[in-house]
Amino acid sequence: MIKKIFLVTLLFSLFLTGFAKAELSIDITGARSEPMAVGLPEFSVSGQMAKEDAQETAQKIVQVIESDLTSSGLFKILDSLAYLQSFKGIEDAPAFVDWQAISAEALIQGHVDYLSKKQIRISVRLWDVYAAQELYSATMEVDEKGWRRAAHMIADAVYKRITGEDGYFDTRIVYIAETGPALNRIKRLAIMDQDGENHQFLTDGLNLVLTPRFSPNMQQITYMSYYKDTPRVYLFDIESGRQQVVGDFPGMTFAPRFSPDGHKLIMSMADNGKTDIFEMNLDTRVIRQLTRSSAIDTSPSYSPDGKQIVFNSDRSGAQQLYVMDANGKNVKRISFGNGRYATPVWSPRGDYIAFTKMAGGRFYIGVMFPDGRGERLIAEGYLVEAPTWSPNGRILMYFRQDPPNRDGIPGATKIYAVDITGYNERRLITPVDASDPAWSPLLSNR
Amino acid sequence: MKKRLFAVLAAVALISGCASTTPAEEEDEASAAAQQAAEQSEAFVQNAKDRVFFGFDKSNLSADAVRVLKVQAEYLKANPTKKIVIEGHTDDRGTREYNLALGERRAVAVKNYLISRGVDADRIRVISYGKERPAVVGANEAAWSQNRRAVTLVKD
Amino acid sequence: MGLRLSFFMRLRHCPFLFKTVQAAFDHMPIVFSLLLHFFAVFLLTYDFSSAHQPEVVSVPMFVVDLSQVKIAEMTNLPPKLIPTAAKKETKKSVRTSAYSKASAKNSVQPETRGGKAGTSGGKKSSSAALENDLNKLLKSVTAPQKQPESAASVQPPANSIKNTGNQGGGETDDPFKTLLASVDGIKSGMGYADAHTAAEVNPDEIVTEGIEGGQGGSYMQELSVSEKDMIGIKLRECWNLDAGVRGVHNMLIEIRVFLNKDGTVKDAKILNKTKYNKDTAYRSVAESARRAVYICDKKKEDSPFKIFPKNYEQSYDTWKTLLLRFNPFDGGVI
Repeated sequence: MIKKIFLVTLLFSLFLTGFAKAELSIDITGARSEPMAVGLPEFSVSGQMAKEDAQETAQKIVQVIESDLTSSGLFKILDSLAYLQSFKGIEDAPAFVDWQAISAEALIQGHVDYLSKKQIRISVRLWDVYAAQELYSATMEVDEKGWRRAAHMIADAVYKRITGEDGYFDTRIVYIAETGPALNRIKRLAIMDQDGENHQFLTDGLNLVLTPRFSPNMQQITYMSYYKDTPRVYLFDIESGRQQVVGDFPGMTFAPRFSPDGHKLIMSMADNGKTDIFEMNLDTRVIRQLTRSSAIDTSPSYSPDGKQIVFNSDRSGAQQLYVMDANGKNVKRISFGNGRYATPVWSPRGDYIAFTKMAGGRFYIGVMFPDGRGERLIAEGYLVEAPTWSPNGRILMYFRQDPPNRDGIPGATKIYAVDITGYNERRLITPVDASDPAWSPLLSNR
Repeated sequence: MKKRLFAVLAAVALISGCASTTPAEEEDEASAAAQQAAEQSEAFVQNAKDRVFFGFDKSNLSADAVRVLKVQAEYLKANPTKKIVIEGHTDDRGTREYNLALGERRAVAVKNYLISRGVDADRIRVISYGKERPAVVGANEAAWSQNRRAVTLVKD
Repeated sequence: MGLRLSFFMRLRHCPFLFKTVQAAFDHMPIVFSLLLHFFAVFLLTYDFSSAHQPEVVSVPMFVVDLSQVKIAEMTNLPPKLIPTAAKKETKKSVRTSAYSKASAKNSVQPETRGGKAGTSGGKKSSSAALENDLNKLLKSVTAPQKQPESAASVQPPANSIKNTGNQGGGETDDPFKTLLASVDGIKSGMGYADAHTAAEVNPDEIVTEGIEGGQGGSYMQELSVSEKDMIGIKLRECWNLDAGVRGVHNMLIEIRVFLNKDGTVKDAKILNKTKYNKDTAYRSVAESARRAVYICDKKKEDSPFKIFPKNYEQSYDTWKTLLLRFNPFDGGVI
């Protein structure tokens, strides 16, 4: 009897285990990758302002959100003519079926309330149309004049909730504005919002300036200037406009970059035919030499944790990429492909190193993993150079120069941005020719 | 025409010992401009003796370069009060930062040769412009080879 | 493989089991039922580490049944292929299972583990789910080769599997190529591998599918591999993935779908909530996968889940919940 019970139990258990495993499982490998379809209807308005004026503000905000999200390549805003629902207030519940009908995957609902003539309160809600879920909601009060930044911040919030990563719309770009003849270019520091708005020149063009880079706290820019025919690394204070030379070096200093914590500056110094990498503590002004070779070691860039430095060197005979500890120890070569590799930049999210590659007479912008595997080239041209990362490590910006034509007129120099996937390359509109872009951190994060 | 005018201006600047970093002129035009040059500088500019050229991504001196530099060294020894600035330049087929270093290497190569020929190191200053100040515009080897250069400027 | 077959065999006995258990419940007090449950849970818990032991015990009983299995009915195998490849295969595997004490560990693992091992091990090659399955198969098929007496007869199917493995690999490069553009490669459009992966079935593939069908084993009418693939492909088309998300190369999203009897989606739940709550990038990809389920569901008659009420209406219990495993690259990038 006991034996029988045991057997029955055993069989029953086996049956159960079999059943538990028998749940049908299906593997889905690969996907399509298209911009996410987003419904962005007009924001409703209320409060202490004529309705038309309030609506105008609301429309401007919606336009900035739309242009931000669209420019990322990850979203497409559906044509508002197709919308079946319009919202009267922020409490209006979305009719999900109506939004599903036009294949919207997400929906942004918003409201602008004029608390006074000058103060507005913006409310937004983000919906997952198919799961019929609210994904995000926020309210912010800003001066009416701050509507543009508020719109960027809303776009950042939407971007963050959908992609899971920080946005980059509330950021700025510093770059070199180029004018004048090809043989004697006039170069000036210039700064603008990430979308090209609020453009302004920072220097007058009397001195040749090159390779600007933002400090992590956004208050300073480091760059190289030929002031008094002495090429050196400088710091530029954005608020005061004050410029100061960095350190007292015997030779040319160039290729500066901030450390991720903003307390150190790393750069190259060329003296007597040798170029090595130096680090300067900005608080104590102590200088430390990190590489010692007869080769050219330049374009250093810190890893986001500040523990490693990637740079390019021709110590093997041609330019290749190397990684070393922040103290200069453990130098390891990471690039082994055909061609020459230069200007490595470590992604802020740490997963990639971007670089300029030269091979077969062409220039490329590419990315590789920090150990050198997985090289992928994502832009190509007669001359493409100087990648810079968006603060979330998702977009690469670089400049592109067309070849000169036969009459000796130099090709135009323009800034482009491309997604890390290699798609959605787009040009940044600048008032004049532009090179050496550098992306700021997220302003609202500092 | 514009270019020619420019070359003339450059030569004048050279004579007057102006400190400005004038872009260099093309070879054939250089000799035309040299006719107006003052006696001391003539040896330099005439027959394009103010510059030497380099191979791609190279900073070693060719036999041609050595011939030019010998003339320069003789001139400097004959004019012991003159000081010089050596500008290092590259073509645009490299990245900006690397080219700054490469230009410096080229200028230093010239400097070291002149020192080896007896020129006092204190009289020589080097500066690199990388690819920022090309001599000619063009997307071909002819143009690039003229841009890979070190130019010696005489200062009083 | 032996293990899988033994499941299969065991499940063939379902009616018998039901009857026995029913009878037991009729006559035994409730305490006994508790005991039963307890023991069942106990076995479930220890399933992974000691699963093969009870199976080894029951092997002799299963051997008898194996000869009666008609693989063709379950698997879309063209009739002429059955005797040559598939049938031999099944017999071999029975033998393997007889030796399973020695060889079970390297030949086959329980299905759930096999899946995981496949995805993590697939990092080296740009493989896809199909190839993974094939690799699993390959392993399980080649395992008997180590045993001298079975080596010769196993050879042909092993080769054919290798071939399809290569083809599968070539095909599944596509998502990688198109999700991450490269200027030195073909900067093609936003396309993805078309449905022809399932539509074009060459004989070699059929062999493997046959084996998989016979092996994966279902106690009731389960899906054939091509039907499974079709569902996977349809879901892939519904899945709009942001291929640039941090860590996407190594992500595996598991979603449990609850289906109504008419094949519409009742609910879709993202599993692995801890990671979902902790890792925003994972959350983003998981939500896109869940969206894919709903988007597919909204396709009405084109919904991948419609195949269940259409072809398997009777066995609703077997498909009322599904485990979907979304894997953008299957480790293919690294």
